[in-house]
Amino acid sequence: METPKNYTEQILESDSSPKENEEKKESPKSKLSEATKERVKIEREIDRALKSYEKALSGNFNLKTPENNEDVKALNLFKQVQILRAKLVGAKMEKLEQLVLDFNALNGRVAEFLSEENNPIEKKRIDVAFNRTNLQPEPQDDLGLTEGTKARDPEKLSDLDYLTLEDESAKNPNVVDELTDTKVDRSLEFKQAEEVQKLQDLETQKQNQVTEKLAIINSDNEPENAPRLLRQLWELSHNKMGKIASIEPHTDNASLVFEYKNGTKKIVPPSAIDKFAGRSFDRFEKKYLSKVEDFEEKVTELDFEEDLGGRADTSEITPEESKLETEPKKDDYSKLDEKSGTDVLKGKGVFKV
Amino acid sequence: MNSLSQIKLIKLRDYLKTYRHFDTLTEQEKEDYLKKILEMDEAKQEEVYTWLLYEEEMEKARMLTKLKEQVDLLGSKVKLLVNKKNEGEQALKDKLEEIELQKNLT
Repeated sequence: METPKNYTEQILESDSSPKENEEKKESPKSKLSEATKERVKIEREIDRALKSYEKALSGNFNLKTPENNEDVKALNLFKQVQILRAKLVGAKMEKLEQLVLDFNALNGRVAEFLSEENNPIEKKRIDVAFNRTNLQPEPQDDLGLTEGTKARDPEKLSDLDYLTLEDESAKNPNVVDELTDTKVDRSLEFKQAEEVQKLQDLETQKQNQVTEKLAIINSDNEPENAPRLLRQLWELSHNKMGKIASIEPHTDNASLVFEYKNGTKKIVPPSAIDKFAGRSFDRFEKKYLSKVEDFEEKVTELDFEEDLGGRADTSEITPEESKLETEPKKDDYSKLDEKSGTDVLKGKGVFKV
Repeated sequence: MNSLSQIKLIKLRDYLKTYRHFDTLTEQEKEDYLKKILEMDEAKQEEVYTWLLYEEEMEKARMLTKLKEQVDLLGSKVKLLVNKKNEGEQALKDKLEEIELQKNLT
């Protein structure tokens, strides 16, 4: 609709009806009706469009329980659209002007969001999702393109295809990022991510083994058919002076934490437990638990599984040692002090877990 | 003479104050205009008031058209967003199928 001549002004100046109006013989009311129809039509078009955007966003993204960054951004956009649509209803001129500015700003934000879609972080997210499938990506050619990629329109490379290009950039630091047109070196970033993933997997694997073994050790029934070390640990754990509180898994180390009844804890490497076979607990405690620091220095290979197959100390128990295999008494700790000459509660090697 | 309702009178005053066409007028000139309108007969006053509404509607329509342009722009972006997501999912599906197929073949 064309910009109208200012009829009001004409009337004010001439004291008569606008010439144009007279020529067309249109009443102001019919013109007003026409203008109102036009205005309502545009309003409805906008409202319909905004509703369709809301529908598209709610239908394609998980807005109720956002699962990822895309969902969160879509939810924010959905809310913004809803707010602006509500503002549109019965908006006066000043509000309409503000709405144009608001929509302009929203468009800017959405444009930023869309540009983030091609962000390396976003691609990396897909990479992680890919790795979780435990499937290996198909071979790539010199350009980093797979057969599947080539089968599609090369002009329409998806994020996933950019991902393979990015993998190439990890191998070749001089690969040019097509999105930013700059040379990038992401090899270190990828190596670090791989290392972290490996460590996490190893840690999880260790933790699972440890949990399984700790369950055997803490079981009320003696694990007769279990490996020797586990049986020894069970014996140690069911000693009345204390118990195996936990197993501390590390990448290249796995230690036990022996907890005395009074709450004092000491770290015991499994290799020391191996030597516990056939010995009294008192002797074991005196020889090993009170010298934790020495153990830590001596122990180089503490892989739990390997320790299970370790050799036991088969040296004979002396008559003196056998005397020590008695029921621990209330003042056992003080007795131990006298025998070892060290304070096991306050001395060195007391570790807090 | 004041045949226009109070509401219409207020609207007229408001119109004279805010309508950009009268920006160049001084407050006194605006008051003179208002006085002139009030001196008109009732039919004329109604006519002026109707034209005022018409111009207001036209102004709104122009602003809404501008708004519609922005909304359409937003629509194209929403569409792009949805397409990107669907394409990404489809690409991932295709890729997984391809890998699965290769695994089965080997």
